[in-house]
Amino acid sequence: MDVQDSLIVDELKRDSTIGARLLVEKYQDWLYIWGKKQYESLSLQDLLEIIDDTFIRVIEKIALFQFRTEKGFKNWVFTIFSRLCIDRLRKEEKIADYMQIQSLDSEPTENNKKTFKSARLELDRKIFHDYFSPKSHENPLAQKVRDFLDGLDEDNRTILLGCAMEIPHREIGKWTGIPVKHIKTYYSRLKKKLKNYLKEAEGG
Amino acid sequence: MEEKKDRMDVLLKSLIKMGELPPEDRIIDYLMDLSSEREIPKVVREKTIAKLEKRQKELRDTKKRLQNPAKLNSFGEYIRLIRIKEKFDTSDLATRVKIAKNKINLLENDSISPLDFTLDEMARLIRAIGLKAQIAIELIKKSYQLFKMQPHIAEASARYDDKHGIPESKIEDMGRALKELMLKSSFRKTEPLADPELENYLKDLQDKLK
Repeated sequence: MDVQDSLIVDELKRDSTIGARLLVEKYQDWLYIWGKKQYESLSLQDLLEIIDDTFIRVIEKIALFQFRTEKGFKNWVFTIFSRLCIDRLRKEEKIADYMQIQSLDSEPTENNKKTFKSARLELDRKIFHDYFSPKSHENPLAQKVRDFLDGLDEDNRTILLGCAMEIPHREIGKWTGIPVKHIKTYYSRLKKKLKNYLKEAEGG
Repeated sequence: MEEKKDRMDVLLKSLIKMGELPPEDRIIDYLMDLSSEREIPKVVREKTIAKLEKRQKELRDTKKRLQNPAKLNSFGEYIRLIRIKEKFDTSDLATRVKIAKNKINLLENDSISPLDFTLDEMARLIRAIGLKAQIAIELIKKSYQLFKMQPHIAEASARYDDKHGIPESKIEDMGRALKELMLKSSFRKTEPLADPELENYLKDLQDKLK
């Protein structure tokens, strides 16, 4: 069932149970599949629990949510879900080095206990202070990458994100109409563009 | 041959994993088509919906009662409601205000005298939950009174335990009403509270909160 997010948001803001139902029907499968792909070390039971928690957070913070862009709500739901997954991994000490990337120059390092500890404290702090609110602090680097993506057309965005997620080029070619043999070149160009964009944004 | 990963690959992957770059619809649809467990069983879905509806109701009730904190039965009740509303547990609060978790639990149930908290502890607690000093003081008076009446309350509550088949939420409502009733009757008899220890504590607390 393809329900508009704006309708879900309106219903949830009105505190209606229909809103809760629509939210679950639209997002539960998506989050489940996404979680299975992105956080393989979480058990399926864990994933289901985290999905429930995600919806509860959405309900609790919906009053603060403002519908600015078409994708805004979906982005928010996925962000909450990912943060909860990462937090669960952290608690189970299954955290990966991707937590440690803070700037363009930092590279993931293994067993970097100091960075790990500081990421951990940062998470603890944020969780108490409205970590899941739509107004929670943004990761500035992520914001720059999102700005860059917003400036791309849909096909280029799909190439960049799809290739980064290792979606087969054949599929990406089908969606975008670009010959499969050219996808890799497109991806390389886009990454180069992104790199330059970030360098400029970081002040050269 | 595996493609060589550069920094941009790592960055994009990291941001995707951290939920900072949510997926395009067609990517999720593709992943769904790949999955053998596309649909979450209906029974699981209904359970989730029931959980959400319960939380919605809980929030609605809590919000309503928090609209007028001065009318609450005790300081502990305010803490509990704020926790439900903001969804943090006693451990979170205990860590933040540097008070033993057990002490906060007891305070929520009016099973400890507020005077067992140092002035510094109480001030930290009041600030952490964002309660106005005057209202906090009124609620602390009630907590103190309820603590003193605790044996009677426990005795009366025991008559309504689950052996009567009354749902837990109903028992909670009844417990609250009972406390309210006992408070009203006790304040009628003893108002103003003639306990110099409490009066001094509250005076010092007020100074501390200024």
